[in-house]
Amino acid sequence: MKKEKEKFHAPGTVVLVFIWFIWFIILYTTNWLALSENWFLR
Amino acid sequence: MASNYASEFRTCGTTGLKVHLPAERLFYVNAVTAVVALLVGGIMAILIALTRWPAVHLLPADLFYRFLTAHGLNMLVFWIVFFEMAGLLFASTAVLGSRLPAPWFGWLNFCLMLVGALITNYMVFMGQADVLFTSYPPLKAHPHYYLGIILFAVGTLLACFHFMATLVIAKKEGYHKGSYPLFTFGILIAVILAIFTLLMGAATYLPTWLWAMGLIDGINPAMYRLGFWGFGHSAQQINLAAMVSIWYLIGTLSVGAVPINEKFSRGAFLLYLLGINVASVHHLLVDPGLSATYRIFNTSYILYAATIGSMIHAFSIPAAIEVAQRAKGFTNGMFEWLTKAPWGNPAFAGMALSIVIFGFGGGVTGVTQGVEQINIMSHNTLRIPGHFHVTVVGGTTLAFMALTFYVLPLVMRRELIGKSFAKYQPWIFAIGICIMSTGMSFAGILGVPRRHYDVTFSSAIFQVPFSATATTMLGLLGLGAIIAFTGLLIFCLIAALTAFFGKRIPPNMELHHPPHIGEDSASVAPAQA
Amino acid sequence: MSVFVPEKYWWKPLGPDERLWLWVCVATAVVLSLMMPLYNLLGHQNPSHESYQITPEKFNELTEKFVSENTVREEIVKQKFGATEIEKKIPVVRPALGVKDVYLRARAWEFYPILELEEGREYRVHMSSMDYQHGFSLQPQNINFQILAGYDLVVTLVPRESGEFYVICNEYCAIGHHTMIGKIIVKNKEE
Ligand code: HEM
Ligand SMILES: [Cu+2]
Ligand SMILES: [Cu+2]
Repeated sequence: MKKEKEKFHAPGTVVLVFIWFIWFIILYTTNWLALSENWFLR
Repeated sequence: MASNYASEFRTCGTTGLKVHLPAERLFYVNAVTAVVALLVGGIMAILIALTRWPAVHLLPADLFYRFLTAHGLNMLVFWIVFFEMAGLLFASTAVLGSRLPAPWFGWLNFCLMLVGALITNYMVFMGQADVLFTSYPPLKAHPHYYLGIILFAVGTLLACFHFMATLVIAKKEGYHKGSYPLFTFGILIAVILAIFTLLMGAATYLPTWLWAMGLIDGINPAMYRLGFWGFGHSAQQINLAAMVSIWYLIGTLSVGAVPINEKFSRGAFLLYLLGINVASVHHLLVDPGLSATYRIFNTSYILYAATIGSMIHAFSIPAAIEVAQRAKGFTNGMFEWLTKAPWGNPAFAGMALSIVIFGFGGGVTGVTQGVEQINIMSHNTLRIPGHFHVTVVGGTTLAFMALTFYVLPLVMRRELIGKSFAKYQPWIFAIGICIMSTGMSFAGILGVPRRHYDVTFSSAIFQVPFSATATTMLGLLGLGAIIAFTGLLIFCLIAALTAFFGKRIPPNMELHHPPHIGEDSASVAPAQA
Repeated sequence: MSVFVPEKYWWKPLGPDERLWLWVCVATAVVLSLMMPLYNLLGHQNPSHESYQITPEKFNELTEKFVSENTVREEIVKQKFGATEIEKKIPVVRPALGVKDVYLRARAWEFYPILELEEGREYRVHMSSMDYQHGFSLQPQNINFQILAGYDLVVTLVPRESGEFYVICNEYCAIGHHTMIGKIIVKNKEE
């Protein structure tokens, strides 16, 4: 027996935090990509 | 027992808070001192910012470094900590309705802090301590510089103990029953962090002071850096915990938001406690002397625990506001709760902007630049100030300013002077800081160093050909600084004028729109309906 | 005040949106934590984890030895002090074939010597300070390291392009900080 659709109590906030999350992923990945172009360092 | 002190209380007609008068006076002096420090730091800020703008290049080199020292200290240490001391008093006495156990003790630690701050500032402005606020040895300042900081830190430590004592008394003498409110809980976390932090500070500053007096031979620079950031970084977690607590508080005061799940929010605060005191190594990622394992352990397991904490708050505060707003009938579409929020209330606007700037700016840049490898590209470039001006300035400072707009009418019972300016103040400050940080960050990405007087290298043996874009970004830094400084001045003026000349507020005002600034915003009507 | 005080029993299960977000948070933290060790194993840009304690005198000795054995020419540079201009000679050092260890000495307010490296060859660059804390900031690569007195930081590096590069000091080192700058020249194999 499945509990049928518990409803989000803050759907707008869920959208907002996911926008934030995408922004973070973009920034984080860009930085790694930029780094991988650099001189080899150890 | 509590009744012995009944005559020392007044009941706030607006909020029903019971305010202990001796605590209120202490609150007042701490807050006023904080604003003075903010003003001094702000004047330094605009001067150094205009120097970093190559087209203006305002100050001579020695004054640039001196004022940079003064800026770092007065902002990061004196403004923030004095304000937090006021916050401790508020969280422990007013919110719990408790008395302050020993007002004389409160004055003692305030005086220690004040004297310390004055001594340190005096040494800096006399040119005896051009060492920047990090005072990395073997740079050496006058011994009194370190003494001032030690006095300040001791005062702070005592204030933390006083806060703990107040919590104990509040329960024991029956002022407060049940769990601590979330705001007080958050501040308690900040205080526990502070005690660790201050002990670390002592371990760093005491030997350095002895060294400056010539009593010991040398300070190992790597050990100093480890100790200093054990102190200096943990201190930022105090600010973080305090800021988040204030977000919750303003959420409650402005729209009546109640945390959606206390367990969720309190757990997130506990993660700060667990995680953060050790993440300090992200300042030393490209230093000699530390093993890879230690660096990675310290910055990943530990730092990301705190990151989870912040991400939880970033959800749970807007969610609380959303739920409260929906309950008022703003249920159309996804975002009516947000568009119909009391944006005209500077406290609400300041809080909302603070969350956005901290999250979208400070949080993401911090987590990114704190990666061991990515740090190679950012260490000591302007990206670093670009990062922390959207955490501790666009985040913490803005939240503190926002809270002040509530504190003035609620605790100081003065009607705001310059309400129409107050409405725009958070926006001006926020926009200025965002522009400045953007300029700093991109200049840093293009390689421009931080703490640097002259990136044209006019008196050096080589001139680095920085691109025109880099110069433009430094111009953006200057422009943003001018706007942010304007916002800062408006804030200081409103705070000072209101504190000293504001009209006394009569009792019996209603809850939820106490400062009478949100009137034109749509939120008020349905709230009463 | 009532709005602040939580209900008596506030330990309640999380709602569906909280649960969703919590999972995102935890997953993020796990991925981020893995990135650093993984890049250490697989990536080519990692901060140096090799350093030794060394006295400034000893490091100075090693630098002088390295310079005297490998100098190929001198570069004459000019520096302005207000109205006056002075000239300085700085040795340009090109490590001979088979020489892997390269020394860069930081001192208020100069980097010494000028290095001439070959593209694609691997070097162990030793850096240390004679006095204050300094910063190694290679531009425009934007590679940054901290230089401390008493520590020999060994950065193993392979230049990936030729040209002239500058080393800015990006740690405040007293009043001359903004005049402290060095140079690294990278040549093609044929040059
Ligand atoms: C109007 C507001 C402000 C402006 C225009 C401003 C501007 C600046 C500038 C231009 C720098 C120098 C960057 C560099 O050359 O490395 C700086 C550094 C700094 N600022 Fe601010 N700032 C402001 C507010 C604040 C506040 C409120 C805080 C703290 C709460 C703060 C903390 C710092 C710190 C810690 C530094 C680093 C000092 C150092 O490198 O030694 N600033 N700021
Ligand atoms: Cu230097
Ligand atoms: Cu320097």
